Amino acid sequence: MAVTATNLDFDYSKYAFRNEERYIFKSEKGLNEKVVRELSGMKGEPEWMLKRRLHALEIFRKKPTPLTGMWANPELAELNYDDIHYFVRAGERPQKDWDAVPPEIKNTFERLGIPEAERKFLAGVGAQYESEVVYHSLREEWAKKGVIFLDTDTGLKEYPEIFKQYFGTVVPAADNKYAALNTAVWSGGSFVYVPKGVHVDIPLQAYFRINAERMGQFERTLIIVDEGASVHYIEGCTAPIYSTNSLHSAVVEIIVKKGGKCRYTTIQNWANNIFNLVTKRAIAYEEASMEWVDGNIGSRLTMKYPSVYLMGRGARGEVLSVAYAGKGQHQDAGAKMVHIAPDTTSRITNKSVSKNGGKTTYRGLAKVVPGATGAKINVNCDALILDEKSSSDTIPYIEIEEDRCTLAHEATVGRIGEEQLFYLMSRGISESDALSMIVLGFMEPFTRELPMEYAVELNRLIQLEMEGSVG
Amino acid sequence: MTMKTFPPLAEISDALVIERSRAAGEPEWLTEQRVDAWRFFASAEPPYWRRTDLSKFKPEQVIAAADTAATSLYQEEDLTDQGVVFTTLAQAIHSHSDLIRRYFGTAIESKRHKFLALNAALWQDGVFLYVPKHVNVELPLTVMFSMPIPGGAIAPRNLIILDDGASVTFVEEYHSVAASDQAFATPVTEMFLGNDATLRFVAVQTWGEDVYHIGAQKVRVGRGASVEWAAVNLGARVQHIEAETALEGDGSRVEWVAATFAADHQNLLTAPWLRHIGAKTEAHMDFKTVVKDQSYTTFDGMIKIERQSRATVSRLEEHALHLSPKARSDSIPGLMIDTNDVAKAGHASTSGEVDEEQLFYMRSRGIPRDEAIHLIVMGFFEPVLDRIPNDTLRQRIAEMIEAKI
Repeated sequence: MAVTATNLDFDYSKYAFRNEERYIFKSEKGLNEKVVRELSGMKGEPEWMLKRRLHALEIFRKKPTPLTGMWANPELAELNYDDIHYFVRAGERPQKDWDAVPPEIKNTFERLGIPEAERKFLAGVGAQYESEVVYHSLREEWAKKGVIFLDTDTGLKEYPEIFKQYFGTVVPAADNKYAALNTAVWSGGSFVYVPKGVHVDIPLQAYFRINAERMGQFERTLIIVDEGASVHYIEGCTAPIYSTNSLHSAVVEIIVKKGGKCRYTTIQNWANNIFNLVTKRAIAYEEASMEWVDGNIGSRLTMKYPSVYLMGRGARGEVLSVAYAGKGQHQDAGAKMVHIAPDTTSRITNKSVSKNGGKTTYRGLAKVVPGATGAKINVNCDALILDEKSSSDTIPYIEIEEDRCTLAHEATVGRIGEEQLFYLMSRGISESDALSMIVLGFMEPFTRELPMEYAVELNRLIQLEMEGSVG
Repeated sequence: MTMKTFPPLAEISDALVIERSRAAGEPEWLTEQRVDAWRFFASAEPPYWRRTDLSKFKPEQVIAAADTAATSLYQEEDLTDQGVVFTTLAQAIHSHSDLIRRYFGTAIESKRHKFLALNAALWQDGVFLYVPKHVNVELPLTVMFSMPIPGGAIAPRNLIILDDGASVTFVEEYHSVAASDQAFATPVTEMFLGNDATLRFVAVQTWGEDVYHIGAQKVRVGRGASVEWAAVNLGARVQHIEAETALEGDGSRVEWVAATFAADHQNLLTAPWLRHIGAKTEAHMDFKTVVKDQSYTTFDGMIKIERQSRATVSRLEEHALHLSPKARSDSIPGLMIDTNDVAKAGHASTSGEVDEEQLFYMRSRGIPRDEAIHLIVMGFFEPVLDRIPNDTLRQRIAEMIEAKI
């Protein structure tokens, strides 16, 4: 989409909303077996799920906080696990009827600036309020085609067999400390199943929000795209601004079967005090295609490396991501591509911008295991550092155990050229608009992959962040 | 050959370290440093390196040389009149104690890990090179380290100091014929360049097949000074080299090239760090790796651009060529950029097999496949081999590479 320097009328306060809290249940702070049993019991879960949760809790307790090592970050030391609510259930039950959605949630959508999107995609919007989906609507033709799009808790209730077959197979609890935490206390998220040969032509959307102080959010998403099917899933986050650290730790598992296609688009704009520690992983079978489109604007610290395990011949993986780190923020994001089958291809494109003392880190893995002959990997990372207080790290891990493959990795780090600015300003564009234009242009390869209303929202956010960046 | 050795590591005490140092007539500050480093070695946990395989390394078998037995120095002209000092560090400690004290241990922190502390505690071998102001040494100076007894251990310590405007070519070589027992080398090389000095540094590792080589090298570069660094790594069972160039002075620069060729079960790791500290510093790195058979190499690099640097230019090229399906190469071309005042910074990395199109082209010209691969590998390494100043050495390395293909 075209980059424009027009000053869009944008009111940031609508991103700083906070509605009155309404709960029917709110667990005590801290995590123990009692909390997990209570949570599972309140949801009326089957015994196997409770066992999985308790087992994961043990793993979470045993694994140290990853402060040093390949996928570690010393800033995690700031997290206090005892100061977080691990389960909150909002007073509302899942809704199918828009009229029944509580007015303050509608109000929230209004303030998010998505009424057009809502009107356009009303049927596709699944909204998460607190830890559970309270509004969910599915277009009738999808239901007819057998497409399942539910909140994950309902998914477990209504489709226990599919659920049990796939849950935890892509991201096992033992994968990392935060995957274990999520497995122990997950609540909400989306459950999607697209049957063989079905193409879902309108994106499935889910809005996530967290709204209670010091409240953790641990949604769990499971997407299964059967043979020859295709789907585009969109998840967007906005959050009120809090005064104390909060934790968001999601797990997303995706299975794309033979010839299937899946695209998963996220823009996260968590408040600047939230730790956003997310494990996103997909398995792509023969001739399947998996694309992660991932934008990171908010949070105090994000650690997120969307992965694709290319398990079948000819599978394709792509990660296209942008990160923006302002004051006090660290966007530690990247991608992992693991080539297990022959003739698999992958591409990673990462763009990051740091400003006002912010820090961006690209951390990635490109791995080719023995036997993945003919694998092709292409990695491109570009970082823009806008002032002398800001910084950027690039840590690409490349592990090649097969001779018949090709890998190319390129990275650049730079600043905005004086000539670029001078040229734009000589055309009568103010310095701040010129800066915005250059940054938006830098991010354009990402933005153009977004649905229109997300692209507009992202551009507005970036422009807003760029305001006052002169001088 | 008989030589003095230390007892096995487990039997060495603080008192023994002190006693040996005093018996050698070393200055008190050095004795203190040795015993301090020994205490660290004795108490520290072994480092955890996920890409360096020390699982079969037996520290209890390490019998370290207690004499300067492994150091050979070569120079083709007498430089005493120009004030150049080129001797073993053990000798220089008596003649140039003050100069050595000022620099010794100021580039590489001995307590970074256990093996560096071991070097600081027990070093006997090693060279001291000092080139005075504005002295330009034409012909290369070479130090060669060998393994004095099969299955032995050496801890060479090298100190290279170039005063302002000095220039020299220094070659550091580790070489042995194949030994059947585990042998161990833990060398440390510290290099210092005054303003406008020029160092051409060539580091060649061609150990026999059962040697563990765990070393560190660092050069600190002054204002307007320039380093050309060429490293060749062909030998050893396991190699773990942490190398660093610190561009401290404004306008300092480095051209850094390396060739690594691993075959059989070799596990060769190079961890080059490049630090931009001064303004208008410039670096070009070009690292080439070939892996064959079941070997495993790692390039674990980092380019750090410090906040106070300005108008930095930094470029890294890193390429790995696979000759066998079972070989493995890891690359971690890291960047840490703490300032936006960067003129250019970037890296490029590739891995893959020999280009089939190149092979096809050469075969269409009547060159057999094997020979074509020879030519491609030699061509791949050529930019590094071109930097080796000594014809005999270059020839010998070329032959070793040929033999490995």
